[in-house]
Amino acid sequence: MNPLQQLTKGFWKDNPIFVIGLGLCPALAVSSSLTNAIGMGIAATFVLIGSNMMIALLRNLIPAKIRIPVYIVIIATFVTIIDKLIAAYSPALSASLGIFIPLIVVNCIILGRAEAFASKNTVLDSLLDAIGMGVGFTIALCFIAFFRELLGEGKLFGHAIPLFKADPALIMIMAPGGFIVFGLLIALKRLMAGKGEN
Amino acid sequence: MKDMLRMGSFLFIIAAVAGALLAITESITSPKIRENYIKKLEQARAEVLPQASKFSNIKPDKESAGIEYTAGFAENGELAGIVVNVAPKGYAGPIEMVLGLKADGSIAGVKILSQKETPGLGTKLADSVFLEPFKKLLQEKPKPIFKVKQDGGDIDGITAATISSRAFCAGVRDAMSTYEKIKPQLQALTAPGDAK
Amino acid sequence: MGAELISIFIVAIFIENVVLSQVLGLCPFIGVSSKIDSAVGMGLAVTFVLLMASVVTWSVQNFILVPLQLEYLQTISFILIIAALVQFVEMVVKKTAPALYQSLGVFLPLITTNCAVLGISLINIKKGYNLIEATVNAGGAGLGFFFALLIMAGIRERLDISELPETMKGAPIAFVTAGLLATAFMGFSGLV
Repeated sequence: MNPLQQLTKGFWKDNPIFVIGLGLCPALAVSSSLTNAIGMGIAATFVLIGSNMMIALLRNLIPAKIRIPVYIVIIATFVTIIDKLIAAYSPALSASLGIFIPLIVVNCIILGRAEAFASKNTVLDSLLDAIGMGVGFTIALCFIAFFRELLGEGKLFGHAIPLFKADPALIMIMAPGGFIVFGLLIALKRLMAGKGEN
Repeated sequence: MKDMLRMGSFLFIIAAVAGALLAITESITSPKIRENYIKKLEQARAEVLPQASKFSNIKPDKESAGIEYTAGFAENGELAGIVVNVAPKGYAGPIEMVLGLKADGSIAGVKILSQKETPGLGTKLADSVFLEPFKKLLQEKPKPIFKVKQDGGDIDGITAATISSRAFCAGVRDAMSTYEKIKPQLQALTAPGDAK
Repeated sequence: MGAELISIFIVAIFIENVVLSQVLGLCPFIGVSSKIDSAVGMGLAVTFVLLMASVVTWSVQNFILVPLQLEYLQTISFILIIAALVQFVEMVVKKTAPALYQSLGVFLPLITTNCAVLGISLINIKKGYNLIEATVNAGGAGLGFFFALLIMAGIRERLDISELPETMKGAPIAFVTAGLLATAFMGFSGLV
């Protein structure tokens, strides 16, 4: 796989959320507005880059038997750092993402990439993989948030959209809307990938 | 045995490095986080009690049985009013409100800090759709009854969010009764010095 | 006091249902809800771990982290506690109750990354619950997860034998169903 493919595979083809089905909780919980989706995407990407590079760097030193606790410590460290940074420099975002920032720790995407990729590849490849997966995660979140914010509030990034503003379907920004939009989007992705046969 | 030692020391080093990194992050960000918190609090105070320019927190001593509030003072050192936090039970959990009451007990301002009401219905409590008529009512009527109209009060509730509207009224009444309870102490309060 | 606890319990099961309202613990909710048997096993395992984790994380927060002013180690210590706890429970169950291990065992390792466990532990601290309230909240959340999973599994067993468009089979229809279930659960708000 060349570096470019390494980078872009997560964007769409191996998209962590739509294809692999990892990291669902944040995908549904914070995707009620585009601003939240991007904030979450950036936070998760930061953690992914940090942990992937650190684990790739230490991959030959980490004893195999205790690798999972070591990964968890590394991931939790980066999560706490980004959590504190967001709280300090963007309190509004911190308030709207709430406990979903510390919950990045248990986002399966990050531990998944550590175990499946970073533990076996070079630092550079792991960096590219992290950026790709992070961007793919952000794209998927924005995709969901786009429909939910537009249909549920008649807004995009908090700005009113003329045609949709009149009588928005509130349920879309609540939990049920998240489930339904997400279900339909995976179906759409399958239809586009032509995997409908099986 | 040697293996155990190696693993243990490795885990120890990783944890120590992580702890050190976090301690550094904490020391950089915590002043900023506290500053944000105080700023938010001050902003809310200034909004609900614009008459005051200085505030001092009154911590409950044993006799006044647990009422914590903030006293606000005007530029000339006179008591301008008090700021109280209430959290009436709404449709889906508590609605955290902060109210400013003038020295005579009338309401100076209301702000919703956090709520979990139904988006688009109950959340209108924080919107001008609800708050503007409420402010107008306060100006027009000297002693309004803080209940929704269905319950025989003066407040125009939000359509399809009666429970939220009732909770709002209950919050206002809570704040008024707090005022009544602490009224006797108010005379004794003096403006804080320049130390802020 | 008693009424307060009952209210926390009811709210945790129905109004703030961990899966359908707080959107936590989705991976097992979708992954393990295709058969009723495994849904029961997973539901019990999660409830058990949630209860234990809440007690331990609450104690660590209030007896160690707060007195030592180490609150910034909250995330890292909670996740390590949960991981260790899950391992420990697995070992104990395997030794002492092989029959139980047979039915629950496979689900235990999956629970470490179930965000409901860490989520509820964090919410307990955030809401300022005392130890009893935290335990009741965790128990309610566990039962809420159990009910949601059970209902979902019941529906999905039916869905398996019904005619569906190919693209909607599996995950897509599961999510749409969850959406409808969540809508139904919204009817519980205002209950307490």
